[in-house]
Amino acid sequence: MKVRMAREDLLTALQRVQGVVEKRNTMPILANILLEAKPEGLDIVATDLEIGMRGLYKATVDEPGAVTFSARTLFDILKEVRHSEIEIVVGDNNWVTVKAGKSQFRVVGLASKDYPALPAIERDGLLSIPAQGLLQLLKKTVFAVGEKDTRYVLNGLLISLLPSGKKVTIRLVGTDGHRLGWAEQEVTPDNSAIPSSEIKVIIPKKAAIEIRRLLEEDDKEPLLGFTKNLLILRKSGLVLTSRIMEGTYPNYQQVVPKESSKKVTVNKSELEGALRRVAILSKDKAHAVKLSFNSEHVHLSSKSPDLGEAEEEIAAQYTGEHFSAGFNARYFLDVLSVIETESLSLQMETALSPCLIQEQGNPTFKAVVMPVKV
Amino acid sequence: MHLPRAILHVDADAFFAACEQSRNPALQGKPVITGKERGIVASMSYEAKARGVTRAMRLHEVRKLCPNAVFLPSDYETYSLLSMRMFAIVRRFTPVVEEYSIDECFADITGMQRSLRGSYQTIAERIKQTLDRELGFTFSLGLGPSKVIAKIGSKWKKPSGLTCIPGHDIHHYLAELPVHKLWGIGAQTTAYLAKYRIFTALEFARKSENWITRYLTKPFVELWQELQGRSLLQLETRPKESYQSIQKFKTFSPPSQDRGFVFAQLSKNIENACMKARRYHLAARGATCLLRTQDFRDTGLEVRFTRPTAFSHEVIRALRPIFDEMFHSKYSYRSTGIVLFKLQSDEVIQLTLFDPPMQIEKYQRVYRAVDDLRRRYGKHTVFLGSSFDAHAFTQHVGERGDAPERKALLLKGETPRKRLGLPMFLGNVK
Repeated sequence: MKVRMAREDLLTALQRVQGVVEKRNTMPILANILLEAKPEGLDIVATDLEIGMRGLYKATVDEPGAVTFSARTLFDILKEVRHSEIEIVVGDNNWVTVKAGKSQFRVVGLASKDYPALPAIERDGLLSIPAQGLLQLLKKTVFAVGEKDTRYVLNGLLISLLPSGKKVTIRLVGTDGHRLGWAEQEVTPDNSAIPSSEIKVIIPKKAAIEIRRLLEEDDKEPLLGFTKNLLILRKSGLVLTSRIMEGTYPNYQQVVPKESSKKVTVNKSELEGALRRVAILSKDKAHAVKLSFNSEHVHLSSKSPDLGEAEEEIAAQYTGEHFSAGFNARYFLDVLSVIETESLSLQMETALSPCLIQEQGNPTFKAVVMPVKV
Repeated sequence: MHLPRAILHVDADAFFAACEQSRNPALQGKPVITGKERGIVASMSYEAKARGVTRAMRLHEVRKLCPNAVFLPSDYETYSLLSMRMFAIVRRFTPVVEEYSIDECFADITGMQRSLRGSYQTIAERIKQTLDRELGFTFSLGLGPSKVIAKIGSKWKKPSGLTCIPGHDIHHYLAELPVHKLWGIGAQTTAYLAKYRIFTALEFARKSENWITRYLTKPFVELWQELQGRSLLQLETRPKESYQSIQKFKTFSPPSQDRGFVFAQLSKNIENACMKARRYHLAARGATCLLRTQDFRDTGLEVRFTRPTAFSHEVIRALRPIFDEMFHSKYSYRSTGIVLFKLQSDEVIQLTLFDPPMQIEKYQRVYRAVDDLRRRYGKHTVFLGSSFDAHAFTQHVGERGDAPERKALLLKGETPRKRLGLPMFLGNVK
């Protein structure tokens, strides 16, 4: 194998796969990437057996072939060299020579057949729909997805496709059992791409984060598709596949409160600032901050027996009776960080029932935070 | 003006064995060994020590060394009551007492000369006499300007010694003391210090402060300061209110291959650990389950809970799957253990989306009732069905299963507590 390509392109490719290659040493070969030189360019593949990424990059292929070697090493080399063209040559026993101007590196490689195969994408049943705006949905839900939760499915993000007539609603839901993010949007795909019935899949949090990263690169329109056990995302010459998690997602619709009589409207940045300040004195692990709602303002307070107390008041619109509830400030701040409107509304029935947080005038995003009992 | 402090370290001599000897005069002067139920020496009287018995020695080895040794099962209830008596006596002299362990305490007697009518040394002598007389066994005391020096003093002459180390004499003591005998210096640090040719405590103390801060971490800098006679470590007089983690381990014999029985042992440990967590108003966010096989192979796995909890049945439910993963019926198991970690206050409860809303409150009421019953009628009055097998059989079969004498052969209507037999017991023990 012998290829020449621009350092820029190779670096972009390596940056993309950094999140996918396995850092824990479960299977050493998973720390590698697979390079496949074909007449049309260089294919760069990475996988952790759960997520796979394959991208075709522009390169001058002098001699086709394939090899696998450490992604980290190649990435480190690219970060340091300045020459604009990189040459990769594979010699005997899979020794890989990386040349950049006057620098030359000889790196240990392995035969490409040792690299685990990416799951084959079944052609039938594959449905692709345009997914512009998917990035917004991901940003507004990934924060709530659980981490190492014993209820396995909560470590994944739920993606639902709900067809209605000529339109399809893409809905993403993430929850760790304490807070929940729900964001949706309507798209109008070609007739052929409208699913005949509802599709519901759960993808691992890592896959959601990788997709978010890919979408953040530029705003080229991605295509989203599903087979029986894979999610497929195509975007500018790149294919990302992720295993779909097994299990039943909990009934999230049931726990999202309906419109409530107790509705408070507040300025987002005022609430965010006040929460950050008041939370300084709630250093216990639950980060409990008490919110009291009065007719014209929200009163925030916290106390910790070892440290002291803090309080602050911010202006608010509220018409119901006076009441108060405790919250984990961190959970609340996570929600506020994804809210884009200047003002937002909080709704809850009692001090122990879920609190619904919404952007002003945007019914497609809902966040729910469970209170703490203090 | 900085007043030099007078810190006293009180250390009971061969505490568990001494407790047994003081309660049963027939044991006086005999080599007494406790720890029968564990199969190894937990504590030995000075008579046994003189014959070469050491801690953690196996009982059959002890028999070879000392054929007339008396083996007793540990009776922690008695020991802890005597320990409380010991602290109460020291508190008669000064309110500043740190209960360092079951048989050790620190006391600050700085500035007490006038009110107690005597020099520091006289006060220390009086404390020692009172302890020896009222508890019926001996104590070793050390008096010095800091905790570390006081501790050196109490170790200096054992048993039944009183060593006063005034500031200007510290170096005499340190010169003879190997560095590994210092409080807080273990094998690792000893080896490290040896590389810099530091072998005695004096060589350590004579290093410059710059050298110490450069080559060692904060605890050792504090130790160094204390060795200079500057008291830096405060006495922790409040009882322990919080824990980072709570552990419960228990060995049983004979070892078992029975999945149900081993799980019952684990379940009992979980109940005990959760009970302790609830007593301190703590809830755990995770737990580690440990199993030890007959040939001392340990396996452990960790789980995280969906919310902080100290409800035994929830912990048991979360650990059941990982227990099944760890347990192999081809091995015999000898002990099980549980560590509750990431503890936080149970007063702030994060509510969850998917559990029934009133569930936590219901459990709280149930466990409040359970804890109340246990307080009134004894620790194992009520327990979960999953722990049944561990309660139905004695922890150890055969000789190791012997209960302390006071628990056996009770008269009708008599409880083991009535037979505690504390020597010269006058007041109330809380």
